[in-house]
Amino acid sequence: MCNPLLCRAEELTLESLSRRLSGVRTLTADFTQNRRLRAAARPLVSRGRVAVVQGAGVLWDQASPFVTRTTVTRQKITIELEGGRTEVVTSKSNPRAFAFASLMQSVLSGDASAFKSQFDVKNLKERPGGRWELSLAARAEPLSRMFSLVRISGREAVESLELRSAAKEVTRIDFRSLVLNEAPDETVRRRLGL
Amino acid sequence: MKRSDVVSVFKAAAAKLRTNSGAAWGWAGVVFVLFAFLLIALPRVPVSSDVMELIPEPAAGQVSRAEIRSLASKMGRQVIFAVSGPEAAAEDFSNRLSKLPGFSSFSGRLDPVRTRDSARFLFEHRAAFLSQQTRSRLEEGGGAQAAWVLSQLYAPLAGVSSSELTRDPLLLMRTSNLIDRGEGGVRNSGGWLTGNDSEGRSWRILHAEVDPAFTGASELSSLVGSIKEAERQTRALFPGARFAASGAVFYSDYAGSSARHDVSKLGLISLALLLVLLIAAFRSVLPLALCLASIAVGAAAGAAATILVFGKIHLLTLVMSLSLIGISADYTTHYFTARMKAGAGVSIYETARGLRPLLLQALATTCAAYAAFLFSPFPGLRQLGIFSVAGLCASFVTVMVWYPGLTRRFRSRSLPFTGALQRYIGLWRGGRLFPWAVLALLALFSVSGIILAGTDDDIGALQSSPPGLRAQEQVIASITGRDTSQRWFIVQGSTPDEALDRKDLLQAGLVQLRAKGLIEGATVVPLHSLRAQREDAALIERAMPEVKRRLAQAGISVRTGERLHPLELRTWLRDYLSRSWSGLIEGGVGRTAILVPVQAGRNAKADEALAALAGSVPGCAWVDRRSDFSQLFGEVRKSVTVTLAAAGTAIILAYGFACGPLRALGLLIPCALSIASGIAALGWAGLPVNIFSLFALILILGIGIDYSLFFGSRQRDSEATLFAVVTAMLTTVASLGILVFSRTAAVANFGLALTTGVFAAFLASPVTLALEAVLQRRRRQGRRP
Repeated sequence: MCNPLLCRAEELTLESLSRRLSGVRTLTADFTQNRRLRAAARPLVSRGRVAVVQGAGVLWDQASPFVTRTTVTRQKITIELEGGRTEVVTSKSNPRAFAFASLMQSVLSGDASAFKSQFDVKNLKERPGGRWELSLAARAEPLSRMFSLVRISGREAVESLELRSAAKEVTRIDFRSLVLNEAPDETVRRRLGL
Repeated sequence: MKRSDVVSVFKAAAAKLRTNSGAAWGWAGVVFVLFAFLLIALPRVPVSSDVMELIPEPAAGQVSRAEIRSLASKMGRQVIFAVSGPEAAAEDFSNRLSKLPGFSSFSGRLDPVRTRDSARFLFEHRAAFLSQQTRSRLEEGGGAQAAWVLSQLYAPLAGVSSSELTRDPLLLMRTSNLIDRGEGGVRNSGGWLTGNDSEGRSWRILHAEVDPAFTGASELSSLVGSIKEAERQTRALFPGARFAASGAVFYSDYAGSSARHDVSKLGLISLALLLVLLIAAFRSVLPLALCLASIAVGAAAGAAATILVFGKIHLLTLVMSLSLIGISADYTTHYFTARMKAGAGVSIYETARGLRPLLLQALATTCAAYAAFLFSPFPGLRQLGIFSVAGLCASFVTVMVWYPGLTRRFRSRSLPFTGALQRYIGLWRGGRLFPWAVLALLALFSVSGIILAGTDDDIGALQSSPPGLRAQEQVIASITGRDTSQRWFIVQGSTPDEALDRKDLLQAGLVQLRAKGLIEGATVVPLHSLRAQREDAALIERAMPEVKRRLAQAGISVRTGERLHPLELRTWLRDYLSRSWSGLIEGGVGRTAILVPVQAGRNAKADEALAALAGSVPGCAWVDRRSDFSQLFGEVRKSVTVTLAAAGTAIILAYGFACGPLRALGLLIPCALSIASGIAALGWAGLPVNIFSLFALILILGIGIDYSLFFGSRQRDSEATLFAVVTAMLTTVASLGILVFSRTAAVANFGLALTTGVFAAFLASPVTLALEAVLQRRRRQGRRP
């Protein structure tokens, strides 16, 4: 480590952060999601496993309180519901739902160019221990109504995500036991069509 | 008056008519009656310009042609503008456009209050717009709907909020037809309808509908002019802004301005060329004046005959027939050439009489060729047959009866360029290398060109549209997801409910076609029939308790018992945001028609599936204007080809039978080579053979016959014939061949085939001279021991 008085650290920008995150080719993690809705008496907590393969898509497999498996690729979103029903959304059939889902992909893989067109960078801070925090504000409707403020933080990869809606309802997602850059297994490859 | 008196009056009249001046006055009377008839009849007779009327049977079985036409014209009046750049640019452009008088409706910036009211209205009636997907979930039962609602609730980016959940516990609005429109992402953002193009650039969208009273050529041209001016002014204020527009009006205006260009520029050039040519040839303006007079009489007679026989006339027939009877200009040329050559003592009447048998023969043969169209299955071609036969005959009578009296002052004089003419004739008479070399070269040109030639009946290939318009249209298509290919279903019902039910039936079929990848999408009216709405309301009521129970498990309590109001088509179309759908719906007493535009690639498999789908839905028709036109053009092209071949063969056989194989061969070779050269020119130029080229070929056949007949006739000296043929060829090229410079691809195609064919006919027509020479040499050799 060099003396902060003598050497200037590289300034953290969206671009440099994006470069850092682009080193994450694949990611698997356990997630815990906590949604606080005014209409709900208690927080909605869900747990499961997420897998991201850069350029290919995201698997979002919720294990509790009920099982749902979501596959997001460039072309479509497939949601396997409990009871065996499968719903498919394409960019054409429901552009809004699709745009939101693809946002997840770009956020998790740190694709700055994808969210720079829709968000303004509010704040980008470096914390001790290689931690960083990024706050984004959606620029236009309908995104701004649903996610007025997005806070992302992490180290080599995104470790937590906080979404705040215009109605001040907060969704917080934490990722634990991250595994980076391990070749995706057979199931992941099949579901993402690799 | 006694009977004998009447007879004697008639006899006297007949005798008078047999005199030269009597015949002229008699014909003047006929012409007067003709023009009087046209003056009275033309304003009353329907002059149709709808190309579809040229086909014999209805195109789409279940829906009337008038219905299709009316809906097509409604679609054709829609104009979409898009502006990219600062909001103020869209605002400024929108302000300018909204002031234009040619629009019956215009929508730019959305009124915020009305938008909010409308959104509330649609939300209250959301049960009237259930998507196929929601419906199938509800049919499965409350459990399936509950599972989906919960998955949305827990999904990290689905963005379900408390207010959405409490207002719409089944989340019906999320997958409503109002959201899933089957087209690209046009959305309501910041008070505008906006969309992104394929490069991700955001555009604001403005809609306009052209006033039906404004669809005349001059109104349209002034409207398009004002639109361009508005764009220019906005661009001057906001240099960074981009503009795009799409709508049939821009194409109509372009086609109109191209036609005006052809008529004004090419027409003037053509007239000037004719004047120069005829004055150079005959050193008098009289031939041009008389030529125009005989064509005018011919056109009047043709139009009158068509109206008398068919009770109507088609614009396309009129235009095409006019060029066909243009061949009668050649009679004028032959008359004046004969007059020029006539000796000092020969009277004008003697000249006319001397020319009569030959011209009559030419007329009869040409008429026989054109009359073949009377047997065509296409009404338009039958009209063409009547028009051209009547027109040619009237032109001929005009030349024979009027010219002598009108050309008294035209003195006989020597032929210009006699030496050159004699040398050229000598080359053919020699019957040695030259003629066969010319024919061989023509044959080589024809065969190689025909190998290169192909047919194309696509109407898109016939219209030349400026690339700028195309590019703008593509931008709009990428923003809105709607293309302008004019391919749609029409669903009709005797009540709005019946039409909407049939629309749902069609939509179910379209969903399957989309899943199979046969179509890319369709723009379907989102509202359901009242009957379907009642059924959906029952499904919703059945699913509600289970959804409520599952939400309660998650700690969320929702209100239930909201009344779902049924929504009628008429009421819906009055809604602020929903009005834009009225372009796809036409309601009348006792019937409602709904248009469903489809975006699909053009391939046989998809076309077949779409046609089959239309057949499976009652009151439904698949309308593909472009392919209907193309099919029509293809069929007419084939019909004309067959007619042309049959007429040509019959004429040559008849000549062979009546005048011997030599004359038949003298006719066959020039006709075959000239038609082949016409096709070959298109092949060499990389242009397709289509219906318009075929019309040029008909004309070439007539001209080929005429030229050959004149050379084959031994009554006249060949130098004079050559002079007349050269002059006739040049006048044809000057009057019709000049169309090769037309901006309309179809017309240029006609001009090129015609010019080449007529020139080839001129080159090959003296072949009889060479054949005769060969025959004579043979005879001489035979006589020698």
